[in-house]
Formats: sequence, C-alpha cells, structure tokens
Amino acid sequence: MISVVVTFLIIVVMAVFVIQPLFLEPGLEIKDTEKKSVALKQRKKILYRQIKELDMDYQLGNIQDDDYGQTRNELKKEVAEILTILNR
Amino acid sequence: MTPVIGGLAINLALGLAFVSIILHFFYLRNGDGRLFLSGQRAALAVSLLSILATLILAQLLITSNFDVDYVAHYTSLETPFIYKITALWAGQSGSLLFWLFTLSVYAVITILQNQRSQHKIMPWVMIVMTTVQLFFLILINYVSNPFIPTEADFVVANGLGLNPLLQNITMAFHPPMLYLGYVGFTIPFSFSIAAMAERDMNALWMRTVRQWLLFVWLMLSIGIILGGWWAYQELGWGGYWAWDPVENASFMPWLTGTALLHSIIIQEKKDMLKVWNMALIIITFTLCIFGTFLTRSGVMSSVHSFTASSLGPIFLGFVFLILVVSFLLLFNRKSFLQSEKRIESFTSRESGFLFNNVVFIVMCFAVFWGTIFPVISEAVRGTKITVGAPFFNQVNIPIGLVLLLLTGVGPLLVWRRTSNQSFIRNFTTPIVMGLVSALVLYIFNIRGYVLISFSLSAFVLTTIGFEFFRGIRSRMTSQKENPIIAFWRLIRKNRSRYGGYIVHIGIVLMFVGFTGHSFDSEKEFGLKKGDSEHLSGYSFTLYNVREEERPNHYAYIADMIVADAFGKSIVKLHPEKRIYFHRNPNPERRQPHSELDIYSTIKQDIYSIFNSIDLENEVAYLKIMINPLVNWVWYGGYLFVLGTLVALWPPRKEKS
Repeated sequence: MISVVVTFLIIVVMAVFVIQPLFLEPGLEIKDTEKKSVALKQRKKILYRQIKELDMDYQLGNIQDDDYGQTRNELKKEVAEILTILNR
Repeated sequence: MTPVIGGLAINLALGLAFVSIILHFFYLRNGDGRLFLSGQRAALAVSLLSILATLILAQLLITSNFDVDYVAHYTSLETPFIYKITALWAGQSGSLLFWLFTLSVYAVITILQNQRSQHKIMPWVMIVMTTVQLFFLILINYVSNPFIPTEADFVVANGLGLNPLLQNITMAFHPPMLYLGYVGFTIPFSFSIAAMAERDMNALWMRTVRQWLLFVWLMLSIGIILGGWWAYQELGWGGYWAWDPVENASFMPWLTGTALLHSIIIQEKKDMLKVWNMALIIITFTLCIFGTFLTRSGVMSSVHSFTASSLGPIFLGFVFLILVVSFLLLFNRKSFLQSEKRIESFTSRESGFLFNNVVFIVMCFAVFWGTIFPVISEAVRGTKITVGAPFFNQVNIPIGLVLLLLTGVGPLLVWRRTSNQSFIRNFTTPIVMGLVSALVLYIFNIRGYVLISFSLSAFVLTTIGFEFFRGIRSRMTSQKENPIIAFWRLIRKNRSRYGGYIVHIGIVLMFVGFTGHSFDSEKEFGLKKGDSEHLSGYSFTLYNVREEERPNHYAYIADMIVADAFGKSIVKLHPEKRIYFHRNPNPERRQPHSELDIYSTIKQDIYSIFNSIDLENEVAYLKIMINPLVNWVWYGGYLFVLGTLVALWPPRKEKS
C-alpha cells in the first residue's frame, strides 16, 4: 500500500513539475537574464589576462620585439572595442 | 518497497528523457520559451530520479536486502559497511547506474550554473547530455537492471559477498574518481556539439569548456593513479601498470584529454586549431564511452574487469553513432571553425604544442591498436592473438621519452618563432645538464632507455627550474621583491602557467619511478620457522606463522624480519594468506587471497607476498621483490595533483 502511494506521489510531483511551464503565457521568450554583456566581460577578462601573460613572456624573453608589439596592439584594440560597446 | 520505487524511478527517468529531448527540439523549431522551460525541467527530473534510484540501491546494499538479486550477488552479512557502499559499482548493473548517477549530478550542476546565461546553446547542451543519459537508462531498464528481485519462492539467507580483490580501501575512491573523469567529459563534449550546432563559440563557451576540461582531466588522472596504487597494493605481482585493456581504456582518453588541454591554450591565445580541438573533444568523449564498453562488455579479459556481459554490440552502436553524428557536424561547420592564422615557424611554441599533440595521438593510437588487436585477430582469423606488455613497452617507451623531451623543449620555445639567439640562451644550460647526467650515468655503466630517461629527466627539470628562476628574477627586478615573495607571487599571479610546470615536475618524477622498474629483482622460496633467505643484500627470516579468524575471512600471517647486509634488522613484514568466505560450507566458494606487506622508502620498496602454506610440513611459500624508485611514481602523482589544483584555483576577483 505504501509503495503504491509513494509511486503515485512521485509520478504526480514529476508530472506537475514538468508540465507546469506549458501553462504559462504562450510565446514566452527565453532571454539570458544575465546581461548580454556577460560574454563580452568574460572576453575582456581573457584579453587582460593575455596581455599580462604577454608582458610576462616578453620580460622572460619568450617573445620577440616585433611580435610582442604587434600582438599587444591587437589585444589592446580588441579590449578598446569591447570597452566601447560596454560603455554604450 | 524500496526496490519497487527504484525500478519506478529509472522507468520514469527513461520516459522523461525522451520527453526532454523532444521538447528541446520543438523549442529549437518554434522558439516557444515554455517548451524550453518544460524541457529543462524534464531534464532536471531525469537527473533527480536517477540520483534517487542510486541512493535507493545504496540503501538496499547497506541494509543487506537480499530480495534484490544485485545485493545478494555483491554483498553478504559479513561485508564491512564501507564495502557495502562500494558494492554499488562492483557489478555491471550497479556500475551502469553509478555512471548515470555521476552524469546526473553533472547535469544538475550544468543546468543550475547556466540558468541565467548561454541560453542560445543550452537546448543543444541538454539534448546531448540527456541523450547520453537516455542511452544508459535504456541499458539499465532493459539490459542490466539493478533492481531485479531474486528468484521467487527462494529466500536468500546470506549474499555471496564482495570479491576480495575489491575489499581494499582504494576501491572506495578509485572507481568514483575514474567515473568523475570519464563521465565528466560529457560536459565539454555537449558544449562543443552545441557550439557547433549554433555556430556560437564565445568567451563564455571557452571558460566553461576549459574549466570543466581541467577538472575532469584531474579526476581521471587521480583515478588512474589510484588504480595503479590499488594494483600495486592488491594484485601481488609487484607492478602498478600492466597495459591491461581496462587500464588502457582509462589511459586513452587521458592521452587525448592531455593533448586537448595543451592545444586549447593555442585556441585561446592565438585563435587557432579550433577544428583540431573539436575533433579531440569528440575523440576523447568517444574513448570514454569506448572505455566503459571495454570495462563492462567482457569482450576483453582483464584484472580490473569484474563482470562479463552482452553489452558489447549496444555500446559499439552508440560509439558509432557518436562518431558519425559528431564528425558530420564538424565537417559541416568546418568553415565556421577555420582560422585565418597559420603556424609561422617550425621552431615556435605553437609548433611545440602541435607536435606534442601529434605525439599524444600517436601514443593513443598505439595503445588503441594493441588493445583491440586481440578482438580484431579473433574476428578476422578466428584466433585471439594476445598483445602483452612487451608490445606496449616496445612501442610506448620511445614515444613516452619523446613526450618527456617535449615537456622540456616546449617552455623554452618562443611564440611565433625562436631566434637563434633565444635558442642558444634558452637551451644551453638544460642541454649541458642533460649531457652531464648522461655522461655520469654512462660512467656508472648505465645504458639504453634508462640512460636516456634519466638524462631527459635532468634536462626537463633544468628547463623548469630555469623557467622558475627567470620568473623570480624578473619579479625581483621589476617589483623589488625578495626571492621567497617573488616565488610565491609568481605562482599566485600566473596559476595556470606555473601550475602546469608543477604538473610537469610531477611527470618527471613519475618517469624516474617508471625507469626504476629496470632494476627490479625478485625471488620465490619456501621457509620453515627460523629459516632465512637472501636477496639483493637483504636477509629474510621467518620467525612465526600465526592464524587469525576475522569477521569476513580467515588469515595465515607470516612474520618476517628483514635485515641488511650487516645483519642489522630494518623492518618486520607480515604478509598474509587469507581465505575469504571461509565459513561457506561449499569449499569451492572459499576464495584464497594474498594480502601483501610492503616496506616503502624513497630508494626502493621491499614487497612481500605470502603465496601459500603447507600446513603438514609447516612451510610458508613466500615471494620477495625489491622494486627501486616506486615511491617516485606516487610522489610525482602528488605533485601532479597539486599542480593541477594550482592551475584550477580561481583567481581573486579583479578590482574594477
């Protein structure tokens, strides 16, 4: 008897849990509730880290002058673009 | 009652897995958010029900509910509590359920972590993860159900008990760690398929994949090391790695996963190798499923495989499906993934990474070929040709040494191209150290692979030491720090780089340990009380043989004194010959098992095995092995884990 009750309860709870959203207003749009800028901020973080690592590689002699300058400029340019978008 | 609920949970989970996949597909077609929410809840319900089913099986095992066939097969009343829990993954159906449990925990974390972001790719992530869950749910429901009751009209008074080999504390950790690794690769795989499907590979994707990769790779690494430790402590052959199919099954995804960890750095830094990385993720995940197939299908005989079954064709079908669908998608998205940048020079760090990747893949293929060759030979020629450790050693030792060399060369190479000046500056000291080591070893009459391995170890350690030295010196100059502070901050501020170097030191120590195997010696003998034997300058005197009855076995214990060449006593060893299930009236059910005793030092292990006992003549038959440098493997393992943790540790929140 108990197993029948528990079985019934599990089925009902799961069914309600899964079906409930279908009774929300039609045409519900799913958006990232975290700001859209989150991916950009993450990219910015990666770029900052890359600049730091690049500087370190340069200090350690792991990168040549011309490559260092070119790569650093590219990274800084991308950071600037992201900052422009984020500040809009 | 509970077995019924366990059965219901996996039934319901199976149905809901279908529902979740269908709802997500419909959402992708018409964009109605209600379908997405409902589909995600269905996926969550699948995971919660799978977790519930696992907890129910654990409860049945702990309470010795022998009405369930699985419980009666893998535990008995005498089984210690901890091994009643570990019995969860001792048998086939239990281990499949445990696979599903682990994946379900990962799925819940993935859903909760991404509730507020990545909604574009999340439907695909959920479709892939739920499909993998669905596969295991089909197996558990229809092929290997852990909730099947014991035969009706038959009361089981006591279960058969757990295999004595599995009654080792390492077994409480080794399989869960392996599972965390194997199963965890589902997450990067799901995110990669999703990114390809939606043509969306942003920075959040990169963060998710990198963090998960590193974590699951660490778990797999710990699982493999613990497996070696268990084999060394429990199997009694004196080694930790035998190129057994099940060992290889865990090693193959580790190799491709390691390659991936290196090449994804190039993707992040240089936006290159994206197709290659996707291919590696697909292959690594496929190898995880293939590994589970090897372990669980019974197609290979293995010291680590405790089940045999007919799961093979189903698993192979799934492996085939993953490969075909994933590579078709990859082929279709090739243009999206291709990079405009190219590797400019052979002597660049990018080349070093790529070369390291190629060597990892070659090694993986060699292991794969050796592992499946017996099956292929049987299918083609009708005779199973066994490929043993000599083949694997012959092929993989040189490849491993090339990898060791690259471990040292990689950090010395410069991004884009290494100038002659940099080359000379970076390589001179390490090469000199390597050559000096080789010369010293040669003078001491050491030749061949041993000489190469030790010299390369010296070379790599010098390169890493050199990297630390240059980093510290740079901080001391630029930040005016003392050497200790500079060392600490160097690691703290560059965790992934210096964590990686610590891992490399661990690898070098492990290679030193592996090389020590060349100096192993062993002897088997029978001793009466008071008799002695000698090996490698040590004497072994048997001074007593005791008997003890314990809750789940009967033990004969050989008490030995080990003395050095000067007769000075070093240690007492007490290897045991155990008889498990000794109270079973059927003598065939009683299982003998040798419990080892090991005296372990940094220099070597003295490894003692009690093979058998002649009660009539009072002779104990023993085997002694002297295994040099084994501890270096475990020390290397500790550093390996420490380094990965350093790399994984999240950086402090940056000030705005």
